[in-house]
Amino acid sequence: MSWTSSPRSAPLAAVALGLTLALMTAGPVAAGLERVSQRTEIDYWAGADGDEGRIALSRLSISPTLRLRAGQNWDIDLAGRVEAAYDRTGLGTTRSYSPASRPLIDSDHVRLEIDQFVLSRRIGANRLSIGKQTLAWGVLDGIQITDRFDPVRRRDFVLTEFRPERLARWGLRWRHDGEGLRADLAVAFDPTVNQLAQAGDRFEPLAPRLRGGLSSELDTTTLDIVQSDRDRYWRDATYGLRLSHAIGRADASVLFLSGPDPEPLLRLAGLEPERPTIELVYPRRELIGATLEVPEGSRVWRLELAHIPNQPINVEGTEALNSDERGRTLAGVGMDWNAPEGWFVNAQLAVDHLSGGHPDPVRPQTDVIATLRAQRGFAQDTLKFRSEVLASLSDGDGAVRTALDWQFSDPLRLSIGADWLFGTRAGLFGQYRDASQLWIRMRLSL
Amino acid sequence: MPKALLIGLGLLLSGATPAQDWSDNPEGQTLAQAIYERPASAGRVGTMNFKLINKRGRSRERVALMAHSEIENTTRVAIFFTAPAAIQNTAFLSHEHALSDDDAWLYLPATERVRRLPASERGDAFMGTDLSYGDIRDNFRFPPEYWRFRANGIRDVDGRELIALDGLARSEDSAREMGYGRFEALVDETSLFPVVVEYFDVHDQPLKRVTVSNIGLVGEAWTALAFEVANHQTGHRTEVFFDNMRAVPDLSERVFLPAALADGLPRIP
Repeated sequence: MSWTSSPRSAPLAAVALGLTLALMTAGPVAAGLERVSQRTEIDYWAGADGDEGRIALSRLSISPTLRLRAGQNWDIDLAGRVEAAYDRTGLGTTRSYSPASRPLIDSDHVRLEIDQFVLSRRIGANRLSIGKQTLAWGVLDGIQITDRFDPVRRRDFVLTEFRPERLARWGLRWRHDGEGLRADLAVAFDPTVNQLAQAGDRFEPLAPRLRGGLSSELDTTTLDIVQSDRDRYWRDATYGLRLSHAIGRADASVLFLSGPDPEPLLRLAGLEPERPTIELVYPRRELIGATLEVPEGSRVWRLELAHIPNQPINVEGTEALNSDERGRTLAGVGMDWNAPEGWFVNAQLAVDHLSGGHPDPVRPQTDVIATLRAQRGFAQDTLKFRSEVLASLSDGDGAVRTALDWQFSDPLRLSIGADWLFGTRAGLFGQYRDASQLWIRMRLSL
Repeated sequence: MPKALLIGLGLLLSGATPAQDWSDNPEGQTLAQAIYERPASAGRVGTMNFKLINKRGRSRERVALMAHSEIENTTRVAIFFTAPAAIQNTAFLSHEHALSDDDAWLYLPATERVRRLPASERGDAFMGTDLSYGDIRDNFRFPPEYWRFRANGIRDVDGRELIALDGLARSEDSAREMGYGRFEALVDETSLFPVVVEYFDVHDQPLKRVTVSNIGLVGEAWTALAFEVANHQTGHRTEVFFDNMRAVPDLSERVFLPAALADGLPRIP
């Protein structure tokens, strides 16, 4: 499978980077700003999957962040990342980024991205933020029911420390944090959608359900994959509004969002007999949803419900890559539990259901996902053990991750872990069953 | 503290008593109640410095801005970590209610989300320190619903007269919940502040010692400005001291809003 669209320059990001570097190096005091916090995280992550002894993962990330303050009402948040990788996991495609969000340096092995460039002003109980930012909605842990405003990175599938890994976009956000009703209104004038793994990389989608129904056996080198243009900033903007309120000790919210579905729909764009062309498109869809968070002693219960009346999906058919729109309903329940002996347990169950219709969708009509995580700190939290299971009950597959973190010193954290993926090649997790790995990770926070 | 009470307490000199022979007395109840009702500050803010030292002497440090308020049966504590870099911008907020369950939230920058936390057991360690959540909540007081009390005379410590107050967990459930079976405290008469507290675990083994080395008046409330918690069983200890602790009676409500944790350090005059 090969990509044929070419990246374009990112002038907005270049300006942002220039300003960021100027503020970081010239010193905020010179600009009349107060430095509230500054941090640089250096993260090296390496993994081996035993496949002919090759290194599956070898990635170095350097992520500086800076928060500045001007007077009583202005804040500036800046963050970037430099990443270098020479492995079979890769850094992921950037063809799904809008030109304004594209990395400043973008090669196969090295990348420089702006993660955050936000100017905020507080006006009483209101806060207006302009710039490149993320928006974390939803209350479940890594399962996206209503948390669908931001696109996410998929280059590591779900094997990240924090899920989802959001992609920042350019836009506006207004928050009202009163003691009663809280409102959060956001517009992203940035058609960036989910980042996928590069063709041929470890987490390239293989299951037919993620390939528009195309068989995982299909030789993808015979295909051209093109990305629909991601430069329609107004037409492909994402809008969202969330209203939250306390109900007794519970927190409840309702929300609405409209924007391009960040998951691709595959469409046949060219029928050259020798080399068919497939286009990844992202039709607009709307979502209405609600969340509820209820504390109950040593537990917190979390509930989410969402409905998408016009979910674009690929469906089966006599011709390849047919598509349709269906109603989609998602529901999830989760529980955090401070268990005895210092254990923390998180358990979640989510159902993702497509309304009936003909022809059948290429994915199961109902997906059921369950997650279970247990973790505990030892030796005054300098050692942390965690183990988690992510499973698709509908596909009968899953992933198990076990990890041990050692806070060697204040700046240095060392981790070791194992990921085991199991199931059939047609399943959500089983498609990556060859990607099971042992890994080590070293993080230095300065 | 009335003089008569102090004299009465002085008559009750006795040695340490095993838990099974324990009997409370009215002087102890009176003293514990006075400690419990010690004036609280409507709002105070300071820079909190933690030093966590393991038994090999290796230390880790934490620095945070702490905002504290006690109003109408609710104690609110907001902690915004500023150092080390690994936990910078992490923020913790608790609303402790005298008449209902407590609420707590945590903001982790990596998750970009303010997350409500399940209630911790009183005996659980507070963020890797030797303090328990109960210690933080009680703020150098001994809640009468958990303890029986006995005044145990006057002790002369470095030329300073301190009142000895012993406490015994009211029940096995109370002991299990707190992680403490009993305590022996020395209380400063002027401030009604326990300056040394020796805690014993549910098996009556020495567990930890809290030593307050500096107290000061912040607004109208006596406040611990420097103290140490040493765990006898692990050899670990935690030193805590405050810089720039000050009363802020009109502390903005916004400081204690969960959603505001994500905005980082609050602006406090």
